[in-house]
Amino acid sequence: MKKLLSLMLTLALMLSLGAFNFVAQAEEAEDAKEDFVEWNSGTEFTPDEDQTFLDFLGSEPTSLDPARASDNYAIGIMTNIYEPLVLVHTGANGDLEYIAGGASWEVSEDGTVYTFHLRDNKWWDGQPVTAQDYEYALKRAIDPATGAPYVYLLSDILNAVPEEAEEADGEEAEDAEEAEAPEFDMDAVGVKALDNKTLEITLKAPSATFLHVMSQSIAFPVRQDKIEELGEAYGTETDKVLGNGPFTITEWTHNTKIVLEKNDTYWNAANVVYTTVEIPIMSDENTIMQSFMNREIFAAGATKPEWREKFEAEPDVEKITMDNIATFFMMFNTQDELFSNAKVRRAFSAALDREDFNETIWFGNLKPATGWVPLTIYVGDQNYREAAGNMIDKLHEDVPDPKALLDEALTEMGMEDKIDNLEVSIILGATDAWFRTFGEYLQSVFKEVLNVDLKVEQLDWTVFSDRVSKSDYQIGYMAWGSELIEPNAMLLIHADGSPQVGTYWNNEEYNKLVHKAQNTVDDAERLQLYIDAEKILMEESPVAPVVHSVTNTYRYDFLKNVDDLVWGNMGYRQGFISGR
Amino acid sequence: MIRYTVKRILMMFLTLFIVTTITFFLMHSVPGDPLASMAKKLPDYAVQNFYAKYGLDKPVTEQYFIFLKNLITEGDLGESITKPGRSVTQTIGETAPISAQWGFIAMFIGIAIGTFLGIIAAYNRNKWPDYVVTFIAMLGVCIPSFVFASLLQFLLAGKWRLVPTAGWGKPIHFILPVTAALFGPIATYARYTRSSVLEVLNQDYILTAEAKGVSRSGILFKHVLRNAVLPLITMIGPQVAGVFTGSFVLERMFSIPGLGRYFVESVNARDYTMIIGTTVFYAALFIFSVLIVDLVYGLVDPRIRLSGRKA
Repeated sequence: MKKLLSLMLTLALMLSLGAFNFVAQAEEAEDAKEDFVEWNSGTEFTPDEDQTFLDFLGSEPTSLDPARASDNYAIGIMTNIYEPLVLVHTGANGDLEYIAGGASWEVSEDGTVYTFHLRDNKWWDGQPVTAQDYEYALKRAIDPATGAPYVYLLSDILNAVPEEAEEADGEEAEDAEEAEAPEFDMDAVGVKALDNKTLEITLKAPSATFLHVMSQSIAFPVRQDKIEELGEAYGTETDKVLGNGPFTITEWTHNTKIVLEKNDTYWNAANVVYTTVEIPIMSDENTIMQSFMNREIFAAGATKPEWREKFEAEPDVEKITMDNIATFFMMFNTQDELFSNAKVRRAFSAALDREDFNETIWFGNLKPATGWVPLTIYVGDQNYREAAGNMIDKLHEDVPDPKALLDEALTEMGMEDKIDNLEVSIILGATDAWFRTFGEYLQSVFKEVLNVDLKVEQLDWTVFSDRVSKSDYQIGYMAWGSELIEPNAMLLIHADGSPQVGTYWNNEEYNKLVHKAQNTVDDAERLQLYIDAEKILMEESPVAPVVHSVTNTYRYDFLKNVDDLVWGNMGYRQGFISGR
Repeated sequence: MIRYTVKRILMMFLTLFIVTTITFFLMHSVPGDPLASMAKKLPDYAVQNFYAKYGLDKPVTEQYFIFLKNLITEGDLGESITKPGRSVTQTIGETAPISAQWGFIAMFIGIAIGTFLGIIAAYNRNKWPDYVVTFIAMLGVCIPSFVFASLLQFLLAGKWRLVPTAGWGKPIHFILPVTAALFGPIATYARYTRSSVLEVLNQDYILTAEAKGVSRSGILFKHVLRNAVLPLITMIGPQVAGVFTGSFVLERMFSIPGLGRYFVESVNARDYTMIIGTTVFYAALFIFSVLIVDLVYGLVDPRIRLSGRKA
């Protein structure tokens, strides 16, 4: 959980965010594609002479190979050295827009065939970027031999998922060993370069999130000759990466520092203002805070009250609060005798006062949960959470007295003797002091509200996930962030008894709704299906959402025109320094 | 002497083999795997792709023999699992010298100052210099290096802006980590030097030397130090190994590209190849430096005779 959280904090640092609406359907994007090239015009500020941005990364990127890198630190860097087919940024009227990065595009009538037309862009070594490069990169990511962790994001593409996996999912586990690399037909994958400048991608079915996926690192281009020359070593060192983005990487001292320099061969180089971005890698919180105070870095997130006070006292520091894309939640093992009963789960969920939780544990930094799906999730141009309403309030309305519900459930299950004598255990995936406070808080709440004795076990994250995957727990606590802008990523992980979260909950009705939503093109209809599905989820409560994550970023106000968009991937393409 | 050395070297390889084997099976028996540690839950087919890629789908014993074969025939420790594409051998080759660079500086300065303070304390036993040194030594032993490091960082980098908060590559970057790492060795060596010098000072031969009219400095360098230095050499051995493997805390704090963090982070991340690689490296260094220390003993102190004949 903590790891995930810190990943997300960094992600949010890289791509800060403000309020926006979402205008994303392909037709509108068509209009937008030609007039976006001036990212940095239209502000009243004049850029300084010195355009050296001093940023930081919270950890060493695992790799700069788009297919194999799996962490947000790597994605933060790759966003700036590769040019994807699609970029996401804040449009002129504050709307979120998909804009053509490497291309413009059109979509077939039935929404399954995307044709991308590439711009004239060059790789760092001067060779032209071709449609074949994108085709190669996508197919390489899909190829099981690559072992790409994020390969499932590409599952919308025709024939991108090995057949057995799709049909049986789990059943063929034993055969897999003998069947040694199941036949996978790369030629059948729905990605094809029609000529040097045209790329055609065919989907299994219309998908509302496909364009968004095309903006993500798994779809970044790589060049075949470079991959073949360097093999496994691609993306491990300064001179073992080849990009086509607005910046080149000129220094990468592992665990210490990355330096990016503006790439003059980039197609829109005229609109990139930063000349150099220095990115020290710092994982120690005190070091980061001290560096920010010293102006050795220009932006940092702070959680500790003492640092926040210091930062807020600085006259030229601004605080940017952004809703994030994650929900922190308690989860119940529905295979456990006690928690197999939905009433018990609901009682435990309703026992939590989220407001108080947030104030006590997070100093009011986050936001009390209002449902399972996080705050910055959209269906079409509609913010999902706004449309779906506050489902936690609904829960408290339905369950005014959690203790009564728990007692009722216990009686039902023939466990009357357990009333006022119940002991349950929670496992937490970190061993630090913060989590101890967290555990103690829960102990007091459950004792007070439900008269239940809670046993807290603090485990290493890896041990924690092992216990969950073996169904060896009662209550757990985690965070989950969405990779996709639509609710489906968050909702699918509970479908079909999927082991991803580990509640082992499976609800036919819910599965049907989620799958139907996936293949529904109409925004309003899809939204309703998602809402209905989430209602069932809250009704059944295999998970108890606690808070939605929020990021507080502090940055010096000489940074102008930063694209504060949680889903954006403009990176250092946009923004400049003025009045430092 | 030669027989002894050869025998010790053979034993060294045996020890190394045992350490490697135990570590290999231990780490695979710890719950969790590299994918779990990435805090990511993936669909089945993505997981299977990943396991197959790194050979994790094979039985552990088979993985062990593959590992041994690669290590012995090619000296190859494999590729990091959580940092795709980075060879473990190369990572160690690049990072260990960096850890050694600042580590040796800190160690030598620390030993020099520590020994010096220890001698002063011993010669002024139960007078104020002794108390001051004892106090410093206590502080150095009790307070962990990261506390000194934070303090130094706050003062030198934060308040007075004399040095950068963190970073690597310029001589100025040495100041903070080296200073922070000094306190440990100063404290340890001051205490040990003090007690071993005191012990030597009480020996009859010192009295004899004084009676013969040997000068004070003559006694110190010829008689006292030569004898008092023995226990110190014992400590230097393992410490040299430690220097190459760096300090997790300080290297993380000051963003130093050393080997230190790979030790801890690879275990947390269940990066099997990196765990076994760093362990083999550390074990080899450790055993080797202990051997060197044993050999040096014979040179420094003729009373110690190394022999391979006895069992």
